Amino acid sequence: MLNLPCIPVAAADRLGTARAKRSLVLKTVIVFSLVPVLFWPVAGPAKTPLVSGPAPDFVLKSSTAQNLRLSEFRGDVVVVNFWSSDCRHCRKQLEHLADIGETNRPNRMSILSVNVDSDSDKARREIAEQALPFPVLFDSQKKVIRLYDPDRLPMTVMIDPHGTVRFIHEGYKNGDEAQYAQEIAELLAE
Amino acid sequence: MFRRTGFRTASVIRSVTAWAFAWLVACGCVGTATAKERGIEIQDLHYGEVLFHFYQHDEFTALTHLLAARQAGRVTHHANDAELLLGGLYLSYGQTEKATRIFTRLLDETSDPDVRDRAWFFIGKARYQRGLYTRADEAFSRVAGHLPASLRAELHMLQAQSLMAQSRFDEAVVLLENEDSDRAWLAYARFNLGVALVRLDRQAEGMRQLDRVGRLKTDDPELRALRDKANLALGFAHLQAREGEQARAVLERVSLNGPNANKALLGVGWPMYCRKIIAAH
Amino acid sequence: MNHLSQRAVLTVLLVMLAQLPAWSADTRPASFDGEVQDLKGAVLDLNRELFMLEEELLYPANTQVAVFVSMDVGEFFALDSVQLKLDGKPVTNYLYTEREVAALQRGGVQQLFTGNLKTGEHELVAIFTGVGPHGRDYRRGATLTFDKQIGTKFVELKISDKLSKRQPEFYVREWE
Repeated sequence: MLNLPCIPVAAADRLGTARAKRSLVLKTVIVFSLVPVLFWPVAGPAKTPLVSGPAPDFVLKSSTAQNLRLSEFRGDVVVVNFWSSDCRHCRKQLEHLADIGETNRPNRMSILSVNVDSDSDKARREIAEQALPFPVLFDSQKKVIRLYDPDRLPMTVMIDPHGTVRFIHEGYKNGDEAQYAQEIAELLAE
Repeated sequence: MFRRTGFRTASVIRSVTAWAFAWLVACGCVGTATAKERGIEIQDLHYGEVLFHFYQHDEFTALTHLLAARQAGRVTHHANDAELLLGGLYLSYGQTEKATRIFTRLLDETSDPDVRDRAWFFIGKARYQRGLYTRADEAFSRVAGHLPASLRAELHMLQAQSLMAQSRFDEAVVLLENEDSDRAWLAYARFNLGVALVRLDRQAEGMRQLDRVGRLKTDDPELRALRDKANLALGFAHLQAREGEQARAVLERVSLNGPNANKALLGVGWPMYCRKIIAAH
Repeated sequence: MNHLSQRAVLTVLLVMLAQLPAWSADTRPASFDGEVQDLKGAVLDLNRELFMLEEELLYPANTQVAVFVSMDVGEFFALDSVQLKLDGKPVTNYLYTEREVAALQRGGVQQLFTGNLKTGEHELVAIFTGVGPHGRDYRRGATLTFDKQIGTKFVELKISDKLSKRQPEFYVREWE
């Protein structure tokens, strides 16, 4: 909840310059536009559709020992995928993502794979087993996955070089990787 | 590659410059030298905050925050530096008139040679961006030798680009020949000059410039891409001149992981194939 | 900017852009280039106004407190994170990327936290973690007790190895 002060009545006294007028109008519009925001249902805002909107930014520790922030990859086509070690379909998908990563190595494409295990050691074992060629980020507190709010895993989000979410996939079945490759090619060609 | 029609040299050079500038901004090679490099102690936190965004190449945020900080009177200890940074940011955002006003005002108000040189440099750059090449040359000629190294290299590049845009290629060659540094800026200027000379049928001179870019030692991915481009252009120029062995030697410098790898392999394979055909007959 | 204020800013931006012609300069630009520059200038002015208004509304001058982070380390020191607690309550746990650390190394200053405090005594606890030369891990803390008066309060946390080479420490400086 925003802690808004009252707009001082004295603001009206500063009318007389066009600039002050504009400033007061702007403040008034901001206050009124915030009113519906303040009266959202207590249960929380409805699930915001992500496609065509800006990808929620995040920073997490990664398997490369660097902290990685999504917005620093602007300029690349970015694939963000959320997975857990318990999820069989996730592990299958990772193999195909590794291939896609290799194929696209000369291109401006990055894969940020976000693991949501509470225990990141399990995830590290999986990473070592699969010899994944891209960084895995650790969202053990599940703060980032809450921003993307999938109904099931794996969730795969395709983000264009401007940081806009363009395609989302929830779940994985054999053959989906062809769709991923097509979408990536489409975004690279833009 | 040299057969593109419909391109006027000036517009090609300017569009390459714009792309090059964007990349050089992104690599942090342009604009003011860092606060640390110039031994500046940050005396206004909000000026430092602007630099934090600027050094991360987030120029729109840097510009917004700088405008706000100026308006709120929060950058008073860094007046000239803040103005120069603002002018430079305006310039990179395409606000050439506002930028020029700032630098002109600085020239009127200060006798500090560091500030004056940077002001003249940016005025020249603004004029160059607007296609006012002779006036850009005038401004550049007012720079007296107090620019930091990173801006000096950019100055030489812009001077070379301006000469090329006026088709004064011989002078551009002299300027770049005298410059020993292989800084990023100069690599772009040499590449542009090389391409322009080859297109003007001055093959040997053009290829000499491209060869210098093609031998660049660098880890930077963007410069590696430029080096690959230069070697590709050079390789195909040799092929056109039926110099198969020289073409092969140059094309083998092209990185196998880059986007130009396929073309380079084609270039290497073609003379081999031709030799086989000739040997068979 | 958080999600709620982002929505507010977006709403206002749309309203303002719709009204833009009424606020543009009286002189009409002669060239297309001039028009583009005017439009870009208007976008910048608007963004600046929104940025300043957001600060004014969310963190009014009388109650504002802001914490900044800067670095002055000779040997390379990879900052990993900074955690802040204000009056015992965690207010931020910031993870730094390579790009951000490089910007700090070059002399940039990060505005890590902005909030509101009542006048009176308050306690700020800051802990930074990182990796120094030779791969050695560091974890250092600093506590500042300060008196908040009416007016903005700026606190700078400088990570420096000036006094003891290869031993980065936190130095706290209050700015008025």
